[in-house]
Amino acid sequence: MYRKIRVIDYDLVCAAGVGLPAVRTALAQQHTGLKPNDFPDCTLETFIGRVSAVDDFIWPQADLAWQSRNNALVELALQQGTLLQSLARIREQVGPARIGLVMGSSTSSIDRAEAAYRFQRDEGFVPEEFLRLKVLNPHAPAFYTAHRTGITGPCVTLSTACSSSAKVFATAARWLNAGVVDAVLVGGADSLCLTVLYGFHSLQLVSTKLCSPFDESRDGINIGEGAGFALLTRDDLAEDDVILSGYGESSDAHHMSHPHPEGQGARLAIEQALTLAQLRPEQIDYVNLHGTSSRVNDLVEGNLMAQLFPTSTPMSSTKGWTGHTLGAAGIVEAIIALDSFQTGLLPGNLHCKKVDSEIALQLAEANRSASPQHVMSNSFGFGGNNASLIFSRSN
Amino acid sequence: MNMQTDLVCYLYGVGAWGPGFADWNELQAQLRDPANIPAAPAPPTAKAEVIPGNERRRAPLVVRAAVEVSAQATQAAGVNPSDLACVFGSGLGDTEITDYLCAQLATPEKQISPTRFHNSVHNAPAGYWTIATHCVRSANSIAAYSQTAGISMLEAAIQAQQEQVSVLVTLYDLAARGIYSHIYTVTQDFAAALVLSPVPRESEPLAKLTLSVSPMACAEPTWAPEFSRLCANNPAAQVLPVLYALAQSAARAEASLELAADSHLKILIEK
Repeated sequence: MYRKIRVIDYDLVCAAGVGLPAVRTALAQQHTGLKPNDFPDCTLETFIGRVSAVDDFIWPQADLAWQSRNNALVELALQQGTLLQSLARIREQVGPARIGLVMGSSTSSIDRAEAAYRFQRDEGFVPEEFLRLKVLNPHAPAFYTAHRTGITGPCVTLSTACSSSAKVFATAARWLNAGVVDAVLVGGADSLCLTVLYGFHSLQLVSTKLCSPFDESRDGINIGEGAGFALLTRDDLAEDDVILSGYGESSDAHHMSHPHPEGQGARLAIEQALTLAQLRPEQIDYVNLHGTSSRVNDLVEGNLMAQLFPTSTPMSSTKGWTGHTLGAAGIVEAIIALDSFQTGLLPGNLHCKKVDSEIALQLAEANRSASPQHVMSNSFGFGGNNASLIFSRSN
Repeated sequence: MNMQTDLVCYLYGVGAWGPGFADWNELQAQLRDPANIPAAPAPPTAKAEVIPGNERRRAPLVVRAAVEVSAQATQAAGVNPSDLACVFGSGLGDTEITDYLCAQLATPEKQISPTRFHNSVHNAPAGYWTIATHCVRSANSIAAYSQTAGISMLEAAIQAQQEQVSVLVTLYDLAARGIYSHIYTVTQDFAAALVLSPVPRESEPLAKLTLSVSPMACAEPTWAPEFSRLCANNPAAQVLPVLYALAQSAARAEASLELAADSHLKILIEK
C-alpha cells in the first residue's frame, strides 16, 4: 500500500540561478541562464547552461581530496536556503542512521577524470591528488553528500542517464514505505564536462543556437549543469503540505539513444504515476515536460502529451532557462514544478515562438499565474529509461 | 537501521559468469568443492545471445556480461524476462569506455564515437537488456561502490514487496582499466544475477529469502582463497557469500551483505 511522502524542504542551483530565490526571479522575468559556450578547452559553437558560481568555488583545505566540478555543484546546492537546517532537525528527530541518501547522476565526477587524463598527457603521469577512490567513482555524489551531511543510513547513486534524479523520488518512496528509513535526502547533480559536450555533439544533438523546446525551428539541445536536493519523510513525521503523490518508471525497450516513436515507455510511466496518485489527467494543473529541444524527443513527447491530457493543461519545458542538466534534470525540474505551489507561477515554454505544426500541443511562451493543486514532471533518458513524478498540495 | 517487518521474497533463478565459470552450475560446483576450480581460471566468452548479432558486436563487455547472467537467471527461473522489473548494480561501471572517452578528449581533435558515447551511460546494460527482451518495466541502475551488492539486493527486494512485481537483480564489475587501475584493485571480471519474486509461484523456488538489517555481519564462509580474493576485490562479487550459502546442502543458511558502515543486509536462505 503506497503511503504518500512529504517533501519538507528543497533547493537547487542551475544556470538560471543559485538557490531558489534567484531561480524564482529568473523564471518570473523569463531571464535565461544560457550563454554562448565559453567552457574551457571546448570549441563547440553552442550555448551552455553554466553555473559560474562553481568556477569561483574554493575548496577548503580539509576537503581538497573531494574536489571536482560535480562535487562543487553538490556543495553549492547543499548550502542553499534551509536545507542543512531542515536536515539537522530531522537528524535530531530520527538519528543519522535512519536517514537514507539517494542521489542521481549521469556523469558523477568524470570532469575530474578528464583533468587527470590531460595531466597525464602533459606530464606523463597521474599524481596522487587525482587518484581519489571516492571521486573517480560513479557513486561520488553520494559519497560526498554523506561526508558533508553525516548521513549514515543506506546510500546509493542511481545512474540512468537523464532520468537519474527523477528516479531518486521513487526509490526514496519505496524505502520510506518499507520502513528501512524515516527520512531520505534525495538529490541530483551533473556538471558540464567535455564528455557530455563532445558526446552529444558526436550524436549531432547539440544546437548551435539557443535551445527552443517544441519550437518549429528547434535543432538540438543546450547542455547545462545543476544540482538539487529535496528532503522527504513519511507523512506521519511532518506536516508540510507538499507531497509526492505518485511516480511511474518504465523502459522503452526500443533503442539506446532514440525514443520509442509513439512514446510507449513514457506513456506507461505517466499512467503509472497517475494511477498511484489516484488522479485523472485533467486534474493535473501543470506538467514540466522533458522537452530537450531535440527534433525527435519533443515530437514524440509533445504528441504523446496531446493524446493523454486535455488541451487546456498548462505544460512547458524549462530547459530554455537551464539547458539540459542531464542527470540533474529530474530533480531540478521536479523542484521547479513543485515550487509553483509556493509561487503560483507556471513557467512558460521559453524561446518557443511557434510550436512545431507536427506537434499537437498548445504551448505558450508566456508564464501564467495559477494556484496549482497537482503538478507533474517528466524525465526520459538514454537506454529508454523513463520516469514521471506527481507532486500535490495536501490541503 | 531496522525494517518494520522483514522482507520476504522467493529466489527462482541464478546466473553467474566469471573467472573459470560460464554459468551458475559451474560456479555452484566450485563453491561446493574447490577441486572443481580450474588451475588458471579465465572468464569464458560472455555469449549474451539474447542480444541480436549486430547489436551484440557493438555492445561493450560489461553489457554482454550483465546480459548473459540475466538471461541465465531468467531462463533458470522459467519466467518471461519482459515481466520483470530490473535492478542492475555495478561499483565501477564501464571503466574501459571511461578510459577511452577521457583519452580521446585529451587529444586536440576530441573525436569520440557516438555509439561508444551512448554506451557509456551506467544504465547501458539495463538498456540493452530491456531492448533485447522487450521489457517495458522499470529498469534501475545503481552504483554504491563496496555496498553495491547489498544496496542492489535491498532495492530489488523492496521493489518486489512494494510494487508486487518480480525483480531481476544483476550485479557486474570488470577489471579496472586506464587510470582507474591505479585506484581500484579490481583485476577479475564477475557478474551474477538473481530472479526474486514477492510471492511463491507455481514452481518450487530455489530458496525462500528473508532479509533483515543487522549491525552485525555474518562470518565470511570457509571457502577457497580464490573466492575470498574475488569477493574482497570486486564490488559485484560481494554477493558471493549469498551464492555460497545457496550452493551448500544445508536447508537453512545465513549470509550478509554490507549496506552501510555499521549495517548489513542479513539474508536467511531456506531451501
